[in-house]
Amino acid sequence: MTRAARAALPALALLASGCAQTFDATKLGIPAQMSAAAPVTPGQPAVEGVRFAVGGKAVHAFWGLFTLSQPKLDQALAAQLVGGGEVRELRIRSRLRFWDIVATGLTLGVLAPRSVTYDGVVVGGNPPPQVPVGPTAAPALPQPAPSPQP
Amino acid sequence: MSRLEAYGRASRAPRYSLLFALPLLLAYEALAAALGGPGGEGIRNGADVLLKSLFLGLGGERGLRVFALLLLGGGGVLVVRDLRASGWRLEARVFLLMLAESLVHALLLGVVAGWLTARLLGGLPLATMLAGGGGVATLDLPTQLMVSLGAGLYEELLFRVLLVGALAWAARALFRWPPAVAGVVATVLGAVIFSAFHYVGPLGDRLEVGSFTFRAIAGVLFSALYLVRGFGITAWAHALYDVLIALR
Repeated sequence: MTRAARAALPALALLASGCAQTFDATKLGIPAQMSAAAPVTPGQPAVEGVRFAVGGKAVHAFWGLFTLSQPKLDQALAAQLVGGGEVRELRIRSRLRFWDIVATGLTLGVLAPRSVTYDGVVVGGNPPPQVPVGPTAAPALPQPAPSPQP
Repeated sequence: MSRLEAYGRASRAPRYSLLFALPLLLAYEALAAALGGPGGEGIRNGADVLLKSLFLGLGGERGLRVFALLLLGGGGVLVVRDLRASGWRLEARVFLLMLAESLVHALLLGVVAGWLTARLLGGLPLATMLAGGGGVATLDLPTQLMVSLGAGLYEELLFRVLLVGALAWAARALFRWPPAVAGVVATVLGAVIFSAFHYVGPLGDRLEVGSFTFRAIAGVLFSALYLVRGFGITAWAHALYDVLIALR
């Protein structure tokens, strides 16, 4: 194998893995369905419940090769899901925002954050408080007492 | 010499250690300049402000130039001397391994310091102990990123290289303590001062026993890391840990 080909292989592997982001439904921490039943009458929402949209950062290591942390839905919706509620019509959007790119560049790709938004409908359980809807109103996930910055 | 030993020795050498820290300096200064006002005003890392204020107080604008000359010139001399001694050899893979090692240290730091804090204080859940208020966490993400990079570079320079070094030297010179005792006392005292530093100034955190203890333990761990693995890896581990906290 030539030197150029040997150098290209890891680069290709990085490109292929860096773009792939997987979400495991069993690791979201809550019962969730990605799809919903068809509406009974046209124009009616498919699922009765309260819509939510929560945002957070997924942090990957080494240009996206490993996932270090992912925003967890169970923390954001803990209060709403106490009474056996579940999430329907879950949509997950992962976007590379400007400051995600800057953070990746500043850390030379060692840390590569992505902005993730979950939105869907909470069905059953405790009635949730007013949760802002829409990607622009997506609140940050409540942080579980972060460690201080030394 | 095994490959691991060779890497361990090379990564501590000035040509790798200082050149490895250089992107932190450039990224921090560039981001601080981009986020600051036209006259250079704006938020900066506290250790950076403290170091530069000292030189600014001594010689005004000229003092700042002396600081930059000492930082870049001093570092440059050490790098060139080491490069000459090694036959001008630099390997890219050493830098890559140093990046990987820094991330491992950054990830371990939170776990080890958190566990030790919980053991030391006992009783209270860790989340309650660490729930501080205010401080850098209230700033927007770009500013937090900038402060985090500055923390890696300037806090390590101020608290590990200068403060712990000066305290150890003073303990040996004034009290005639053996080097090991002077080193331990300097490390612990330096860590306490490092922790206290985070509660001073307009952006200082609200003082909590838990977060103070966590930071003091982190200070001791960073000192140990600096002694064993050198400046570059310690600076990057500190910066990456702070960036991780900023991104959470």
